[in-house]
Amino acid sequence: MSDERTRSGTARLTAAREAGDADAIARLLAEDVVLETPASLGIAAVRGRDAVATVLGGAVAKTYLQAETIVREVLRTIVDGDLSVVKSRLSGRTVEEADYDNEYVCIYVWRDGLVARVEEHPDTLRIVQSGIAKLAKT
Amino acid sequence: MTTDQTRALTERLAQARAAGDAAAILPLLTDDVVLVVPPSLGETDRPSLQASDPDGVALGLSGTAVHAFMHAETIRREVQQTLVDGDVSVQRIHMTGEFKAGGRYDNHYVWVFHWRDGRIHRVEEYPDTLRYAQMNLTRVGETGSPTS
Repeated sequence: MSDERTRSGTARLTAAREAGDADAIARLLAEDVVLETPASLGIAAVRGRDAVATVLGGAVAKTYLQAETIVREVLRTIVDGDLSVVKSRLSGRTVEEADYDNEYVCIYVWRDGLVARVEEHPDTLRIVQSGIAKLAKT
Repeated sequence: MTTDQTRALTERLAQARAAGDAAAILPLLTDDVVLVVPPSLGETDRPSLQASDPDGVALGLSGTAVHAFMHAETIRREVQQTLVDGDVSVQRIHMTGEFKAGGRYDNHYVWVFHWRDGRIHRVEEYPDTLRYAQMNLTRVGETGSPTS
């Protein structure tokens, strides 16, 4: 894919994520798309267009953050061929009434105009510090 | 800087890092270069890993600092993805090795390099920070309560 096509797709995906629009997100995902998070969190990969669109649309974030407090801010977008990286900040108030503020680096792998793979790299220790996940020793 | 210029310099940086050559990394850094790690690591019981001088950043990027607690000959850094866009480059790296005290290190990193006039002026390191805590390399601090 050209940088221009990837950049355009990434801009549309970012806008859909900011709007929490799972339908618009789904239209940008390959049917066999995979979403992976860091191994330390012990979360199985999410597979399939509908499941990944639901996660990227913010459904999981709303299980630990109060929906009306969620703020997503895109800090930087980097595009190279069929890869794009979006640095963003997610903040809000947890359901346990704690402040949450974390940076995320998302790597998108594009194929034929659709996202085939998503790798999410948050500050995982911050997630535990915020009480959203527990520390499990390896 | 053009993407092609940044790509060539990013490759030169990767070769210097692979060789653990801090002296070769140093000319690629500006005098005001900073290395920034995730905030969570500054909220644990260890001093912040952030460096704000060329020598410290070069040492950090060369990877030789970990030789104090890892067997140098076991350390492997595999560059899995490289992206370059104008004056920014990104690398995803998988690092493995053996601790001197026993046990295996295995972690994934995203590095973001910001270039200016042919040199790096800002490095952002995104490791899987929870992995550090799981391997007892750091402790879990509390948000908003810096202990370092």
